[in-house]
Amino acid sequence: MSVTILAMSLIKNLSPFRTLMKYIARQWKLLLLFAFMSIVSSEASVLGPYVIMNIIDKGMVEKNFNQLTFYIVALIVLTIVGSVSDFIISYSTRYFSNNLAKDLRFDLFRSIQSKSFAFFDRSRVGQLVSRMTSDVDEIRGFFDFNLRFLTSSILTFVLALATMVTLNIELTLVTLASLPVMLLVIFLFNRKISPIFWDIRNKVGQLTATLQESLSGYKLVKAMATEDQEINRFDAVNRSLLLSNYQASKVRSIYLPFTGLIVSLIYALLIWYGGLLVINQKIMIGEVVAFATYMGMFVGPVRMLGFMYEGMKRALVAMRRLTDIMEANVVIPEKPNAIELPNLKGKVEFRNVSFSYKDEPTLKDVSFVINPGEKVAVVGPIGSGKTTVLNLIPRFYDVTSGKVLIDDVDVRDLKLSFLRRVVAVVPQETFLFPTTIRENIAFGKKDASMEEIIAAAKAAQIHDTIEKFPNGYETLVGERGVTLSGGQRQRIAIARALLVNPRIVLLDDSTSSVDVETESAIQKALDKLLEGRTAVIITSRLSTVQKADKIILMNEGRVEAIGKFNELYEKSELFRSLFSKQMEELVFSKEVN
Amino acid sequence: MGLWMARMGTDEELERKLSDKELLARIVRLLSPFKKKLFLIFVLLLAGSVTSILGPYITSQIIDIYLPKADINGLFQMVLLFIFVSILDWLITSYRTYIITNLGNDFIYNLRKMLFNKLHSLSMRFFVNHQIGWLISRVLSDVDVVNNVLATGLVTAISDLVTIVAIAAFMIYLDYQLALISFIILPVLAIVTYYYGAKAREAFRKTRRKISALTSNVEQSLTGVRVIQAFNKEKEQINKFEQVNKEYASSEIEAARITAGFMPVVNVVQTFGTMLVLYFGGLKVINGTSEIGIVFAFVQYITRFFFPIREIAMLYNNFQVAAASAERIFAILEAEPEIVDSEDAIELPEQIRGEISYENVSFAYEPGVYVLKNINLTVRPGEKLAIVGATGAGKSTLAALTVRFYDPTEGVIRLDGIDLRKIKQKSLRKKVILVPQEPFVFSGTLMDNLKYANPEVPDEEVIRVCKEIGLHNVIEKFPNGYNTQISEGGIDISSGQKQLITIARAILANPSVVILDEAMSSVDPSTEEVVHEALKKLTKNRTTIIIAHRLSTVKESDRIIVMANGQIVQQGTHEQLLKEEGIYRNLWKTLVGAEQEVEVR
Repeated sequence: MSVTILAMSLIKNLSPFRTLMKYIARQWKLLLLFAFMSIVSSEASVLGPYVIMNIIDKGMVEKNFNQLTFYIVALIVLTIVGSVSDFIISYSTRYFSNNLAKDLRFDLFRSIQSKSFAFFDRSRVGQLVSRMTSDVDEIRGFFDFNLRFLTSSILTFVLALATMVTLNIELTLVTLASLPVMLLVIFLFNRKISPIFWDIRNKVGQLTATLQESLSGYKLVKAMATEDQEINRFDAVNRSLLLSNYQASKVRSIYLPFTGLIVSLIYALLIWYGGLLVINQKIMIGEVVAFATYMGMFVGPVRMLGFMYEGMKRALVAMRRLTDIMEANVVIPEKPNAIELPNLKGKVEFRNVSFSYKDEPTLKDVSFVINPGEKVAVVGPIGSGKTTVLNLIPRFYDVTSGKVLIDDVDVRDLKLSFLRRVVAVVPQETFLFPTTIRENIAFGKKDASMEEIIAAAKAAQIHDTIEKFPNGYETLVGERGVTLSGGQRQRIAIARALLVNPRIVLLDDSTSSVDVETESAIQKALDKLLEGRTAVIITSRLSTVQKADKIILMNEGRVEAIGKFNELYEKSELFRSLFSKQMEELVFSKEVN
Repeated sequence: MGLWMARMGTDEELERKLSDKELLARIVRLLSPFKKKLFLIFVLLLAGSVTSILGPYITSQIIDIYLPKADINGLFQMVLLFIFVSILDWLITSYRTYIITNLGNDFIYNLRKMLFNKLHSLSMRFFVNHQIGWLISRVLSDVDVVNNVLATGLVTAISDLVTIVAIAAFMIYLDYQLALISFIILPVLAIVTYYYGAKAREAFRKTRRKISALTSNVEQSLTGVRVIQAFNKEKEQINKFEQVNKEYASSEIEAARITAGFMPVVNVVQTFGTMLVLYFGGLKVINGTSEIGIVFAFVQYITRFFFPIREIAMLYNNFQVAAASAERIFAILEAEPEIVDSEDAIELPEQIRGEISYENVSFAYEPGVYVLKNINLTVRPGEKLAIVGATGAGKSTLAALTVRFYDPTEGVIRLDGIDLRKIKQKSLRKKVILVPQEPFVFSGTLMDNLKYANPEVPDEEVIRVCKEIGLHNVIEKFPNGYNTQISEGGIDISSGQKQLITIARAILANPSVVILDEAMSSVDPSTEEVVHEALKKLTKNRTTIIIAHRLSTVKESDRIIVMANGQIVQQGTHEQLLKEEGIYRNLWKTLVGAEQEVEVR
């Protein structure tokens, strides 16, 4: 029954299964060793009861001391052989499974690193991390334990059956009578318990989510005094988990001991029937005892069948999730004949570019030209497509239609490594790695000398700040080190970009909110960064916009207007609305001064 | 499998503060609500021991008495008796399993509830000192571990001990010589378990270190993946990952080498025991001093013996890990909230004026390091007050004190003349709402979020407020409008939008005093203007305190406070302050200076 279901689910999930086979095949030698040792170990355990039978019948019943000693020694040998092979089996499976997990994790990591931004937009880091840890672990666990157990169960079953048949057909049949009943009970148990288990899993997920949310939002919960609300919310989930757990333990405590009862009943049958055979002097008592032991060998694995099945299903589900990631075709493809441009001038052009993240187009037929060395400001209301324009230049995404050109070459014809070396991005939110400040600045150029790093930091107006930290450039950033303000982070990002000496700089400065003191420092840093390079800047800073060689005004995914500040200020209502307030202030403060 | 749990936990197990005895006393206290169940378990346990002893004994009687006598009727009767005992055993075991697992379920439920309630009663400082992820693992995995090892684990261990003692006693009763021979293996087993346990703990500790190195490597390179790709550093990251990945795999394989030996060795010991019984029992049978059935019963008893011993060994091996878990849990349960309502604390009336006065307020997070120094300030009812100053000037701390996240180290803060310490925290925070810089949305619909603090507010009111602050248009664009789910995996909302939601939510809570602590830092300037205009209307009769960086946004406040180094250095209206020599004017000069440069160019 379960086997058919399993086979069906295997076919349904063929792709993950096939991928998994590839990983398995890599370690075939180890598997061969495992298979061989499994046969040895199963044979040793099947011979055990046979030897004990002889100890009873030939040694005790016939009161023969030599026979007794002989079989006891045989038992010792068997045990040692069995244990050594058990050790090898256990070690080899775990060696196998850990290597397999390692390979899986590595390939997964490599595959994730090669995905485009579109992939990261829709995946959460926590989820990806759990793919790499718990899902891989699920698969490892299957090979660790389930595979070993399944193999030894099947082998023991076959070998025990063969031994029993040669010993006594009638008793074999009596023993086998337990099997269908057991299978039925196991089947019923699984049918009852698996929905409950899924339910519990779900609820544990909910509990975790509620907990996470409620604790992460503690500041708001406190600020709004909604502790009771949170407590009730948590209690509801907690209680519903409790109820599901009650259900599970009910099913479990009815069915699992029940298999024990079946064993006992068949055992009683065996003793009764075997006893009659003994009384009729057809067999000796040791044989009955041996059969009782064989029955135990049978039943153990059958009892675990459901568990095995669950394990296998879970491993396949996990594998499917992994192959989903590995096969997800959200990469930025590089043409085999992709080129580099040795004498790059730094011209950037959008030619009828449209782009959509999902269904709604974010950019509609955008065209503009930025000449080498020009500083261009991109302005517009929220959601007008400014950041998307920036993202298309270094190919974080590919255009849906149209072309992005650098020095008149389509960016899709350029080598990716070249493109991203000549284009530097200073994003809106600066991500810093939890290492030293030095390593963060040198991120794009690992072999940078200390002088270069300091020069970049000075140009970015962050050197003095860094020097004030207790460990200077070796100060750790983040949880275990200093917390940097938004302005400081931004300047580190600028230093980072400066160090790689790009031709084209893309800067997203749209929401920067820093105290005014830092404002002028950043201004200076920016001037340094942009010097002699082509620059595209998203900004709402009046001074930057006024300085720009050209302003691209975006609105609802289209280019509304292109021009200098004064032109646009006169011409465009939208543009005025964006900057009028800042202009007023400027005028006002000049009056005061 | 007996060693698996040693995988969990952390290195903290090495530095425990509570002794085992103190710890167990606390566990027992947690178990005390379940006295009745525990008693029932004990009764069932004794009954179960009897039935499990009877089975092999009946078999031995069949072998030794009825088979030699060829008594077919007697055999049949004994088989029926065996069946009866088996059914009894089944009933007892089922019921006991049910009660024990449910005891565990209840224990987990209760403990999680206690922890959660406790966490929400603790003050700000606790959350600042503990990471959220750390707290979550306490409520989830530590509770599980403590239950498995110390609560139901403990109950199971006691059951196991009872079973062992009962079986051992019966073995001695049957044949004390054979019994003593069987017991020889007990110390051997204990030594083996202890030895492997110690080695395995060490090995697993190493795997834990390696896996957390791996996880943090993955987390880092995934969080920073955009920077990595922008700078072309994928190869480097992959190489780094390969390193930690290999190290982790080899630490696991190393642990496998150790633990793989455990079960085979235990099997050898067990078979050795069986063998001793068979050999000496065999000799006795040959000598005629014992019977085959008895020897057979002994073989069965030995196997029954082993399961509980393994179980206890497992608990022993995992005790240290579980004890560390328990200690972390108790640390939370026994944490004292820093801020508690005093006994004579009052509820605020429905209508308050909203006057806040700070009298000689000083505050230090760490003793001696003052973040606020001698603040004297009165915010008038309905006043719009703005606070400006550099990062670290003490603005946010002042805001936090106003809603009593902390108590002032010196001085008094009063609301409508009442010392904050004499007002119930909840009552205070219903009237005085702080909107922090980090916005937060809860999973659920947008509407749920907006109504979070005040579920009774009508939809029309929500929509009105959203329209005012310019959120309505944004929300209307979402697929399901106000009913759009904004949980994980739901739609993307920018942090600026989250801040707007957070502000709208605070206003909908209808407080008398609103404090915005850089609550619009991720909102772009033109939107911020819209929100400010809206706030003027929405907070008309409310006292408002706004902490902001953008000078343009504070300009129109009734009064501006300039803070530096924990003190108020200037106050007045925008116009007044511009005329004064001081920080404010300098700030403006810098701002404007940058722009004048442009003009010159």
